[in-house]
Formats: sequence, C-alpha cells, structure tokens
Amino acid sequence: MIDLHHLPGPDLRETEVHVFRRHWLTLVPLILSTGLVFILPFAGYAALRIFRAEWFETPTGTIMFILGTSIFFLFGLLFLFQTFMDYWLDIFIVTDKRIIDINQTGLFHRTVSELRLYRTQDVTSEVKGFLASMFDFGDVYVQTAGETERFHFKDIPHPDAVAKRILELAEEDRKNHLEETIEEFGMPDGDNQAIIQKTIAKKMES
Amino acid sequence: MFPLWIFLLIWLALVSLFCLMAFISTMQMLRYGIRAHWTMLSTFLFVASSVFVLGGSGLFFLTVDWSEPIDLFSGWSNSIMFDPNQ
Repeated sequence: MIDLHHLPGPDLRETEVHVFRRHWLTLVPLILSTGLVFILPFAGYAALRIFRAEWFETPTGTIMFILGTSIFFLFGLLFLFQTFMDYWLDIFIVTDKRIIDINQTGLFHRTVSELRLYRTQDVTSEVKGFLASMFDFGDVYVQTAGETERFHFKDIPHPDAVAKRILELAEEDRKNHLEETIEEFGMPDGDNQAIIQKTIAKKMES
Repeated sequence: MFPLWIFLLIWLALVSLFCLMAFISTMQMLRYGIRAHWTMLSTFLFVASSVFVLGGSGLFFLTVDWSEPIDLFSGWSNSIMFDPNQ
C-alpha cells in the first residue's frame, strides 16, 4: 500500500489508492539486456583465449582486458538501472478523487498530469495483440469533458477492470461535486434535474 | 609505444563520468520513486554491484606498474596484408 504523503500534492482525504505500472512483460528486453551485459565479457574472454591465446601471456594484455571489461560492466549497469528507472518511474495512480499520470523520459524529463475524477467523461480500454491478450494487459484512455486531449496509460495490467473501476469511482466522485459536474456537463432534463436540485439544496443546508 | 598510465587516465575519466551519471540517477530514483521495496532494492543492487566492480578492478590496478610501456601493434605484421609466400 502506498503512503498518501508520497503522492504528488498529497490529499489526505483520499482513501482508495491504486498504483499501476506497465506490465512486467514489457521488461523482457531489459531482462535479456541484463543477461547480455553479464555474458558478453565472459564470452569475450573465452573468444580471446581460443583465438588470441597470446593476448593473456603478457601482463599488459590482462590489464587492458580488465580496463575494458570494468568500463563495459559499469556503463552496462548504468544503462540497465536507467532503463529500469524509466519503467519504475512511469506511474499511473488512481485515487477516489483524482487520476495522476507520471511520465519519466530519460533522466531529466518528467511530466506529472493530474485529472479530477468527476471530470472524467469517457474511459476506454484496449487490448491489442497476441501477448497482450494472453497476459491481459493493454492501454486505457481517459477522456475529460470539453477537452480533446486524453490520458493514455500504456500496457497496464487488466485494462478492462481498471477502466471499469475508474468509471465507478468517477460516478461516486460526481455525487460529491454536483455543482462542478453541472457546470462541466450541463443541466440534465426532467426528473434528474429535480433530483439534482434537491441534492444541492440539501448539501447547502448541511 | 605508449606508457600504460595513459590508459589508466582514460579509465579514470570514464569512471568519473560514470560516477556523475550514477549519482544523478540514484538521486532521481530515490527522489521520485514512490517509497517501495523495489525502489530501495534496485538502487541497492546498482550501487553494490558498481562498488564491487570498481573495488575489484581498483584493487587489481594497485598491483600494476603503470610506468611500463605498451606496444599495441606488436602482434601486427605487414605479412598479414602482404604475404611473402603468395
């Protein structure tokens, strides 16, 4: 469970917090790269031993090999760490009041977008491709009222369930923001209008 | 013929660059990574393996005589390109 104090712009009235990241399957290239980083120096050593055995006969050959290998290992580790950071710091948080999309690109590019839940108009989930269908991960699009721009969460696990939960939470949040919702979506007709006006009047009294 | 310490200087310059990048990366991770076991574990693994590689190679380099000259092209011969038997 996430500590609410660590959310951007903490709001302690939030009770339900879900944190989503890209599906672990998107980490497969990173896992393969890790294997490569650890195997390559040993493979290089074996290849030199077989094809250029005289390389290690002099101490300078060994020194040059260790100089090169240590630099390869260090920058390989740095590359892996930064790739993991790129995965780990891309976060999609849904609370019972808002949606936060944190996007980290490289070391110095970070975007934090926030959306009040009651402003959510339309949520779409999309599962595309063989692997995504097998492992149940995909994209979720959240559309806000009056804006063409929409939130796009890539490769998150169980997108259908997430989309459904967002809609439920948005519905609940709209009940607490009736005035803002009417401002945003307009006044409904007929019976609904009367119910909403009554609810607002009750809220004003309390 | 080159003195061996030139390669040590190049290595030190690259290690300095690595240390700077590693410091910035670690700071960013600890600053923005929401408090979770994986944030701490991945940072610890990265720092520990970097220290292991740096320490291991550093200890080895302490035993090296860097004033020795090195001839990088000693194994190369014109005979590879101009084989006298052909």
